[in-house]
Amino acid sequence: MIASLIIAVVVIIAIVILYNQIIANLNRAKRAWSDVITYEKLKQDVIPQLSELTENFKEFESDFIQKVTALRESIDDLDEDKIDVEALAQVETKSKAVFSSFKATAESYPELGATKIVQELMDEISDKNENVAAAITIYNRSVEHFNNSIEMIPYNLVNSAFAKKEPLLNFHQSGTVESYDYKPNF
Amino acid sequence: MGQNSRNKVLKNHLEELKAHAITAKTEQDISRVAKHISDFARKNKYQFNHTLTFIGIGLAVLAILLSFWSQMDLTYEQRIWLRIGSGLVGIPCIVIIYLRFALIKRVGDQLYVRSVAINAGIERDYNFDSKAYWKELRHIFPLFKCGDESQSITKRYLGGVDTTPFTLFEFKYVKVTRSTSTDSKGRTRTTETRSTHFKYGMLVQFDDFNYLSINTRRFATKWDSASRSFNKLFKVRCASEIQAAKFFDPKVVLGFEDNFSFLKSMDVNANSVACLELPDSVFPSKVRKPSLRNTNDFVQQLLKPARIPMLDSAKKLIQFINENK
Repeated sequence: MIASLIIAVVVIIAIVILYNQIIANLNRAKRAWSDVITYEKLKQDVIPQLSELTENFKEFESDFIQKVTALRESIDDLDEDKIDVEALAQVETKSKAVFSSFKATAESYPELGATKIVQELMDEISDKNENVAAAITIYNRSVEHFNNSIEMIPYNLVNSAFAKKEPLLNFHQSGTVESYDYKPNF
Repeated sequence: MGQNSRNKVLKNHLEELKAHAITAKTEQDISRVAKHISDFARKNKYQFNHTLTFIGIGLAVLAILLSFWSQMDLTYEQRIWLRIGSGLVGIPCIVIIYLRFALIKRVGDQLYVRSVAINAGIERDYNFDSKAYWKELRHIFPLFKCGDESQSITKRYLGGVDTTPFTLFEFKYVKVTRSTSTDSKGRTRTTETRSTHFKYGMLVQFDDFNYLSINTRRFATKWDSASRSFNKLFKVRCASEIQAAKFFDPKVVLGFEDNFSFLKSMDVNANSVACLELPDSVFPSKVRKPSLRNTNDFVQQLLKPARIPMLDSAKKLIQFINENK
């Protein structure tokens, strides 16, 4: 009788610990996602300066302002509370298009590229992109850890019985994986 | 006479090398010493002549064997005296051989470590009182409060990264463990065990970087990142969470996690002096050293000494902090 009681108490404690770990890992992934969005939204700081530059320099392509507007709109759509890697992928694609176009124009016109404001803006963009890339890496690691914690034994038993959490999707930049012929078979 | 003079020549030469190991400051100095070693090796060997000591050991062994040979017409006392005599001759001979080998190894090691330090851009500093310096540091950083006795800063090197100066240190301390045991008659006996330990690290003078510590309890406020691995490696405490969050942006968090996981702890004082505790491999004396007795190999390695990867990484860490603080 006492032995059964002890086993029951141990099992309950184990379930509570495993459940709490699953929730802690999910919250960690959510926090990592929130960091990605925060740093992605910080890119908006440079958008007014980009628009101003486009108006002042005729060297920029005519559709540059449209690209900037599209980027701003897709950043606005990002939600810190809802993990949506597809929306993030769209932002990253648009952001890449804007900043690549900006960099290419600055390089094609040395008199433009040499101006202090353009140099500073390029440094700022590079810094923000590095931070977003780092935040995405941290997010992907958190997702991997969370997914492991709901799929590995005995966590999967606790998850299927109590927590009922679904695996999260990893983020990958669209256009990077699709271009490879090789596809891993997992 | 010839043997004595050979040993004397080698001993004098080793004294010269020892002096060079302290005074060499540039790569040119090391090249000159390497040439000096090559010149010496053309006429001599880095090996003492042990003929007399070997004879001594041979006699001692013979005397011991004789003392156990029952057919020898010796009394018990004579046999004991024979053994004592062989010990008195044999043991000093073995000690002399050991000391001679150790002398060659020590001088070679000192010289090579000097070359490694010069190559790494750091300079050994002898101008400090090891005990007084430890006492000074103990009041600033808790790291130096370790140990029960014989604490001192045994070695230090001075260097810099860009405009940031640093001091590389070796901190030695002795831990005393007391254990009490009681025998069957109820008598208690306390035994003391002493163990010597070392800690290695850097003291770095930053500008305006006095608001966070890692794996030490300098500040009351805790801060953690979104990265689980970072949080496992580093326990961050800060003067204010905003300052910590500003410094530890995702790029810096990932940098610490992936490139600077070797950092054991970092403490800062109000004057932005940081004390970084690092693995022992940061110290020049921890590199693998060639033997002076293999002269050609030694000279080659002396001219092209090994890098200290941990010191390079520590320098990168200082640069990284400077770029992101």
